[in-house]
Amino acid sequence: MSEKQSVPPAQSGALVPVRPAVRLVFTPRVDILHNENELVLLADVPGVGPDDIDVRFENGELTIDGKCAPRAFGTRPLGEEYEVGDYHRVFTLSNHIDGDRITAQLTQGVLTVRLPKREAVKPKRVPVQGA
Amino acid sequence: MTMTRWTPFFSQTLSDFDRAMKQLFQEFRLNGAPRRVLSPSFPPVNLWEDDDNLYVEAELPGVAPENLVVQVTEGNQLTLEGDRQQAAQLEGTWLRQERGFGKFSRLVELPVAVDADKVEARFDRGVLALKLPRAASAKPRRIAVQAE
Repeated sequence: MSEKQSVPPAQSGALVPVRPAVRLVFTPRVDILHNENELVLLADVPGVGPDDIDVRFENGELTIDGKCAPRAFGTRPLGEEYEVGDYHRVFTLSNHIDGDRITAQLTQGVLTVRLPKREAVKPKRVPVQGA
Repeated sequence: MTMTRWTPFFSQTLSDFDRAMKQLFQEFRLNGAPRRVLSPSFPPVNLWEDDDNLYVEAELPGVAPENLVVQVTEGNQLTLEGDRQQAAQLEGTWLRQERGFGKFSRLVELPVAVDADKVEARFDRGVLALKLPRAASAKPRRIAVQAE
């Protein structure tokens, strides 16, 4: 699995990039794990609800898009140590992944995407016969 | 949560490219300059106020609520403590690990005293939001101006 820099649809094709009005986009941090059966991708997307996340598998690419509305309380900000924004990240997957069986789950700001491997590429145990 | 700001590399103008290069060198400390750290403490917090309350927010994705301790002592010392643990049921080989785990503890000194008994804490979507009512002594008081 490798990562790909890509241009979001809003910006591609435009000669002069129009910047969205203070809409920040972050690359979410991810952990990726693999075992015999699947790849598991975990991404930190705090502030994103299940309805605001879009996980898409298309042309061998897995795209994660999360929308996160700005949050503010009270009337006066006193200190800001982090910023709130959307999330976007694209991964290129090998053709070993069975795209139809990908599942995703969002719990407490962590997105878990399970990418099962195709049966054909799973390791087969060969029985060894003794004499 | 510490985040990497997403900056599309080639979709911007040339002056932006220049800035991106500078940022790249800075980030990897190639010019020896210290890396820009927005907040050296974890978790980073945002703070707001109005006349009645202080509001504190921190991004803590993946922290189980039972592993999170929020305390207010001496009126204005806010402590956020917790333990961020990797999901236990995962087995296999790691290909990439960018997310951090472990115990954290942070003391935030609030600008005014708050009423520790009435603090409200909500933890939703990995974001901790605190509403801390100002202590009676710290509330702004309107002084009636008398005209003669």
